[in-house]
Amino acid sequence: MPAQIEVKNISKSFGKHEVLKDINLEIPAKKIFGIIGPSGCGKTTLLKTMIGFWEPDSGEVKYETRNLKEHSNYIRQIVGFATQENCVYPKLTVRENLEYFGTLSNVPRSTLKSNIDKVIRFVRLEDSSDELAENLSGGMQRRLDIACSLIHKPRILILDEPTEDLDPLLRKDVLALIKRINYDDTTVVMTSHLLHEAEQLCDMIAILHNGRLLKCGTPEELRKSFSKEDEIHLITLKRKYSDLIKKIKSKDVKKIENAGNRLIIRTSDSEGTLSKILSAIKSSDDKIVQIDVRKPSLTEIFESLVKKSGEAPRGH
Amino acid sequence: MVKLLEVIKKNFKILIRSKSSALIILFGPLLLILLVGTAFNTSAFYDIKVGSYSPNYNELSDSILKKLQQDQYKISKTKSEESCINGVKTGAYHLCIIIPENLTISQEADNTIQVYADQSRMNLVFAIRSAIIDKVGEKSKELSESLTSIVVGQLEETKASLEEKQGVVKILKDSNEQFTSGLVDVETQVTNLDFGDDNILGQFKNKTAELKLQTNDTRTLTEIDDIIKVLEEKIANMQLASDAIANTIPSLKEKAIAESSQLVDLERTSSKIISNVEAIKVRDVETLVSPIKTSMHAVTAEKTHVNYLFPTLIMMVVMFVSLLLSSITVIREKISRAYFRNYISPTKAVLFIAATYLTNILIVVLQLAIVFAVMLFIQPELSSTLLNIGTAVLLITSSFILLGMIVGYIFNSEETSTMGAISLGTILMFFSNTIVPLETLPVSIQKIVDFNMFVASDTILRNIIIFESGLKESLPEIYILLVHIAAFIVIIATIYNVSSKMFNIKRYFHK
Repeated sequence: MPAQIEVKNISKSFGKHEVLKDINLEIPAKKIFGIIGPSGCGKTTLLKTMIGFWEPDSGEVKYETRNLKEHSNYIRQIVGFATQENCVYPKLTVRENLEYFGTLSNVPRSTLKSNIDKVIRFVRLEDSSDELAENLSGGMQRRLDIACSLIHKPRILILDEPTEDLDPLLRKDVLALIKRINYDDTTVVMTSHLLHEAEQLCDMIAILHNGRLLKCGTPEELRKSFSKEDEIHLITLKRKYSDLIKKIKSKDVKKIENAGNRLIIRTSDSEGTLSKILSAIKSSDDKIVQIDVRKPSLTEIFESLVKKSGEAPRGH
Repeated sequence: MVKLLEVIKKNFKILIRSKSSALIILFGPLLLILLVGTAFNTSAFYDIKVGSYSPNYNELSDSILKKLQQDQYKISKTKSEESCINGVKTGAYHLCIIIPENLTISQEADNTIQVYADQSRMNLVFAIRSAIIDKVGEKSKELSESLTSIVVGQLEETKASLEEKQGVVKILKDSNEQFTSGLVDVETQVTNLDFGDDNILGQFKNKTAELKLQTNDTRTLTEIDDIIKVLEEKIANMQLASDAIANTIPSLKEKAIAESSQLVDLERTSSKIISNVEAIKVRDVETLVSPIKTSMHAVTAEKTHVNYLFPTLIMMVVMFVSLLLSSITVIREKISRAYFRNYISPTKAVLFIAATYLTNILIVVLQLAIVFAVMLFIQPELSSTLLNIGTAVLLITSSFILLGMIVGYIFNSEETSTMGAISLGTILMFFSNTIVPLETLPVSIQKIVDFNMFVASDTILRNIIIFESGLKESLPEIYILLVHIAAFIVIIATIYNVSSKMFNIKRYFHK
């Protein structure tokens, strides 16, 4: 399947400050594509270059095989964009903001009202539709911003740090909203510096560091490429692990870490190690309280990749 | 079109819902015009304080001060010349008048009245100083008229006397002529008198001698001889008298002739004096005192201060409101978070520029419509110039709005943009006739200032409102504004995207 969005060899500098270095991405249709990286790594610049706000120093961006520079009007018609700053007018009501941006996005007058009603329902702002945007809570403003991006029914929605500055509950709310948007076959491209969030939500992830693309793929592919080992996290009733450690040691067990109340075992044969743990516990007078088999987290992968790159993150 | 209306609608909503903006930008200028209109709706100067000092006031100096008091000037007599002058420096008085001691009308007196003024308050000083000098001049003229009327009266009287006495001179001249001709006759007669022997006396003697031969009447003959002797004696006396007369007459005649020529001279002189007096064509006192009169004629009907101020006042409001409103609208849009969404929408930049321009022009034109409606109520005759005013206002407002938009695109915060707009407005106003007359500037700068938008706009409005002339009379100024508008459009088109990008780059680095 051809990529819906192609980013080819994009580089962008502000003065002597090189923000993006030779970025290549292929974003498939109808997926949630996450671009992750720490603050200041160039995520926002990449998105703004992808939408044409910044002109790249080199490279090109294509949407559905059309070059952005040559078909900017068409592309702006099929793309919605929500920044981390809530791009709405605080002195306009929810409905007025939607009406304004809908008109700018060429939504016909005949369908604008119904679009507005649908979008308001979709982002669950029915009770606040006549409220001024400035009077909405942070989460509601974020939903309004996303609603404004959706008013012209775009095929692609680009979200820049959609959960930035939101409390955990509101964050959950917004993530659920993104899933619902994607459920309607809208391609979602989002950035986040919260790696676990992207891990949960995205079908594909690109890892960006200091303007370079370190890795791109599905979360599973990333984990696999990073490590073939699994982690077993174990908590027993007595929480005394010295005998157990002796019993499970083998060539497949690469590392055992006693983290106080829990034991973390890194193994290349999770099934064999797990059966050893179970038989060892069974033969003792202890009981298992909790046992998990985990792949390495995206955070760990990211940290490892950053280490490999040998560059300290910008602004850190 | 739908998009354009939507953006304008949005701009209006934002402006109106921002209470401080609505108050300052929308109602501020109206309030300003109302206040200025009320305050300056008079043609007089009020509460003008004049300090005066004289070592010794007299009737004349008091009468001058009284004349000023009649014109609502507040006169304060100071104790010293220094305190009077210092009063001007400290602002206690607008002017200080130093009147010389014992101001009198005489050749020896020094009648110079010195007027001290604070030149830093140029416009006021010019207005009051000329008013004061006029008032003192009036008194001076009164005195001059009085003195001149005496001189003219004496002259007329002298002429009348001379005319009267000219008849007497003529009579004297005639008498002298008669006297002279009489003398000539007497002289001739005297000269013709013959007292010799060949005359009757000789004949008488011969006859007597003949008689003596014929008669012996000696007694008779003796008596005849005695008579002859007496006669001879008398004739001799007569001869002597005749000689004396003959000797006296020439000198008498000479004197008479001399007197006659003096009389002629007197007659001529008096005639000349009379003709000279008559030759003085202007004997009217007022004309003699002020042979050349200056009378100021207003090219328009007498109006209050606000009428004269109105075009400049409108210009100031238009300029500052347009500059501030448009720069604030632009900067608010530029720094607005929503700006990015506008930018990425499938809408051309020109639409946003046009919408900003139209929003601003609608607001300013609305404000001016209210102001002109009030002005029309006061001055209904302005209705004939309404179309010209409307066209001019549209042109003027457009140029200032576009300039304000440029300010908005150049600066990156509301504060700096406001400062920029105010500074720009102040510079434009400073290099106009509003604060200092342009004629006080060097010629080279004057030539540049001629292209000042404020000056051009002010001239157009003055031509239309005060002189009620058409737009044709202001064509050079209209061309200046059109050139400005064209240049501003080009600049805006160039900097619109650059400005926004630059702002975002700065934001990127300050994040």
